Amino acid sequence: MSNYYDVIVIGGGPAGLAAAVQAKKENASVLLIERENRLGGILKQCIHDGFGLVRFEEKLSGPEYAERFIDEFNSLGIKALTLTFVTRIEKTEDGFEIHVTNRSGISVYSCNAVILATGCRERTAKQVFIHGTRPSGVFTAGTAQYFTNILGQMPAKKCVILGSGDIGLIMARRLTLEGCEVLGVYEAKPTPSGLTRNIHQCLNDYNIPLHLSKTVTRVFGDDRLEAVEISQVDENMKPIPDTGEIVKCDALILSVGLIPENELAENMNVTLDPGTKGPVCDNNCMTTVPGVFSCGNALHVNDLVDYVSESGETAGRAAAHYSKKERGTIAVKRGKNVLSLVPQMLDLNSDLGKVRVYFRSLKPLNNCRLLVKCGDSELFTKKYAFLRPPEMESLTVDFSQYDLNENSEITFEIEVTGE
Amino acid sequence: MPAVSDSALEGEKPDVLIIGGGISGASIARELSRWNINILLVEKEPDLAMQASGRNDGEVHPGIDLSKGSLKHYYIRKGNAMYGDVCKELGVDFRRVGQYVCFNEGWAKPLISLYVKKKKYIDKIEDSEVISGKELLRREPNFSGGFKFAISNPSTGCVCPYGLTIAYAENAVTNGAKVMLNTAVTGMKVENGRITEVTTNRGTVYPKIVINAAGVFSEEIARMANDRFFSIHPRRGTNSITDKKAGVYMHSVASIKELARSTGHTKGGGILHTVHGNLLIGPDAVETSEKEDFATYPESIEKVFTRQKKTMPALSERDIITYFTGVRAPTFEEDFIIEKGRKTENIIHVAGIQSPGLTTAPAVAKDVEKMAVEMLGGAQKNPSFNPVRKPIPQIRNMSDEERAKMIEKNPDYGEIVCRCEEISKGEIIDALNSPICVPTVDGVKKRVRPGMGRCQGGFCSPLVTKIIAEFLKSPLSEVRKSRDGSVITYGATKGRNSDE
Repeated sequence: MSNYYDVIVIGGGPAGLAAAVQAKKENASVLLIERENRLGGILKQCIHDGFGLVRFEEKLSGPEYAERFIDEFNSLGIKALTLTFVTRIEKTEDGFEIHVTNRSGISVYSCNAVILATGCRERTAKQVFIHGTRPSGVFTAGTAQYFTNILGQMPAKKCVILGSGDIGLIMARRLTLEGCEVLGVYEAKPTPSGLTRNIHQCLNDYNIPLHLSKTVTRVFGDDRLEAVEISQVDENMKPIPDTGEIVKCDALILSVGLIPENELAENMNVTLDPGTKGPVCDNNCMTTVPGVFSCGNALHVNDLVDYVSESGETAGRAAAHYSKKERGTIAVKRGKNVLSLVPQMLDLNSDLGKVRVYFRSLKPLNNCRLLVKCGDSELFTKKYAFLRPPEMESLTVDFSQYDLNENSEITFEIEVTGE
Repeated sequence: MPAVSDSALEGEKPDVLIIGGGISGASIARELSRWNINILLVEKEPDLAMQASGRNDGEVHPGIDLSKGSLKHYYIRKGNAMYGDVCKELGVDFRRVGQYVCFNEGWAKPLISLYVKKKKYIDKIEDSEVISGKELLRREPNFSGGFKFAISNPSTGCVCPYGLTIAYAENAVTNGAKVMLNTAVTGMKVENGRITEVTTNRGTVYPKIVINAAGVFSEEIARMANDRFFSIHPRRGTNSITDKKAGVYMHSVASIKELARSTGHTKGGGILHTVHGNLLIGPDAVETSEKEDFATYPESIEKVFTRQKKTMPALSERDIITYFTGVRAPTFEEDFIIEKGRKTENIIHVAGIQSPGLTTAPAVAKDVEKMAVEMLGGAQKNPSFNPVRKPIPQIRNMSDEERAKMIEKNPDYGEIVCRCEEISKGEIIDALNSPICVPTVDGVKKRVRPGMGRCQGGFCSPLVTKIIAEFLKSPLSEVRKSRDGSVITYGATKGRNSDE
């Protein structure tokens, strides 16, 4: 079969590239399908530095980080289809059929295993219930970044940024450097959503004020944005009536959250985790549908690309060796104070020696410990001086040392130890 | 007022000047294009269907709430019945999805059955019937189990209201009518009971007759024509649109009727499964003094959702992808005005058009066509009139074979630009090459839907902007979202010395 590959990777961002490279290194035949005209995903527009500190112990820009994987991808001779859109995936007796559309027409590729590395999308103004008119000048941070860094166009002259997510912070600095007046970053939560290093490097260093517990409630302007209304919020993040102040600006840039893109997964009846909004996966990044793997920001939103590549490699390795043998999965559950947790399952029939676990705490916590339990018995604990939801924690756990069976149920919880 | 000021129309002498590019004006232009006459339609906005016609729920009403004696009732059954053929000719998606008016009060069933009988025999709403709560649940399993019975109105349909307006106008243009956007009427000269001159921001025109289809501004037009005998009191309504994932919850149009708390105006809103597969929830009804008060308010959405969750508990604000406000143009009598001028003889008013104005439009346009032709004192048929409009292909709805054929002809159909709605570059270029070119991000969005999906243009809006700039052969910073002031970007970043 000419159109057959052992592994097909959907998405050519950092997760997909790492997955494809790893699968190829494991001797699988690999095809990567990318919607855009170039590989690299969102890294193409992330021209700031700070990528690769964990993996390469170097401070790279987004395109530089991507380049390292693209070079390896190319040197391994992996085939990529760019400007190619996956319209549907069908389960067949032997594997999967991937139906694609591109400028050459319609094609179907088949594979043994498929890796979904489809990334995430940004939450929009209406999804955070901003009201008022519908002028131009309201952008999600990623869209503003595309205009600025890819198209070389200024999306704003005087802007307000809503949300202290990392892309919002990065754009605050980027637009300032381009001569835009950034009036302030507003965050509905009482604590910032982005990495601490970005608060310092992107806001403090440029004297951009960060206003906590405040949000944009209304936009004004019939054609281009003319002003926004900023209101204080209560402890439930609901705007407090009559606290509105009007701030004149020509752009509102939103960094109010990312949502894993899982429409292809959903169409294949992959179970999603309401905590991560990504697929429920086992320690090999395999979803609830055997042969379907998920990695990167499609699996869960990461704050560091290093972890995106890591999960890509896990998925790539496992997909290359996927043999349709029965799994013996047990659940890994979120307990007290845990916002999100990956993986959500362990496959007892696989190597549990070095399981990478990623979690976020539900709220900022000091002097606490992670408590991993099997049923009522404690497997192990790990101390943390502080945990903050914006900073995803990762650890490697050797689950093979515990006597786990199909009735085991693992729980991760966080306990505040006091002081 | 539009930003443009030139003399593009100076001295034109159309037989018919239509003021307003909403569903009324566009449908009238198309019906009049059956005649060998000179038609000019002017619209002050940069696109058609920018006000009420683009800001409603797209329901093709059954007329169950209307009684004999009103113009609304006179036109609704005719209009409703015409929808299948009109949409087929114009290449517009239309579905007769049926409507359910749901009741919790079992005791009212005999009363409502009687009411439906009256509707059937006196008001000629012949296909409506009362169905049991059990039958309702069989047809729409996600509805609340509490309903005791419902009125079923199978003739109810849904259509894309701005899509139909644009289709009507395009077909009119193909058949010889002229449509001028960004063109506002600023005054009229009336002599001896006749309009002799109409001034616009694009020059003065000298029409034989004028059709006033100016929506909320129809009273201003009537006043300029020295023929104002009615008033418009604007009433806004807000609709929410959900992700298509929620579209699977139901497939019809539904509303809940609470007998205990029945309020004046029709509008507690409803839920409608749109032709595109989303759910549309609303609208509410709030009196406003502003004719162009298109802002949305959180209260509107909260109120409508609280009510509509009673019909379908699965409904969630979390599924909302966008919301918008429209302003209705009712008269104080709450009925349409479709008549010749009372003091000025060469004007026809098509005013007070609010719900169900979309449903009635095909029928009203036929009548206005007759009135206008009679007023002109005889006209010849347009020998080359072609009622059929070829729609822009919808790649997403095609089979693999059809798609492959399209891509072979033009590879742009294989390049997907909008990932959420699966819209190709080819469709976007088709929209730009359509009979009424509106080269803005919103203009393209209204015609072929990039940016209408769950990411709301996050990924595709820069790409669409770029395609438009390439089409116009102008810098990116020249592309607009909609009106002239709706700048998207302010020119090149520091590193660039030119715009590209």
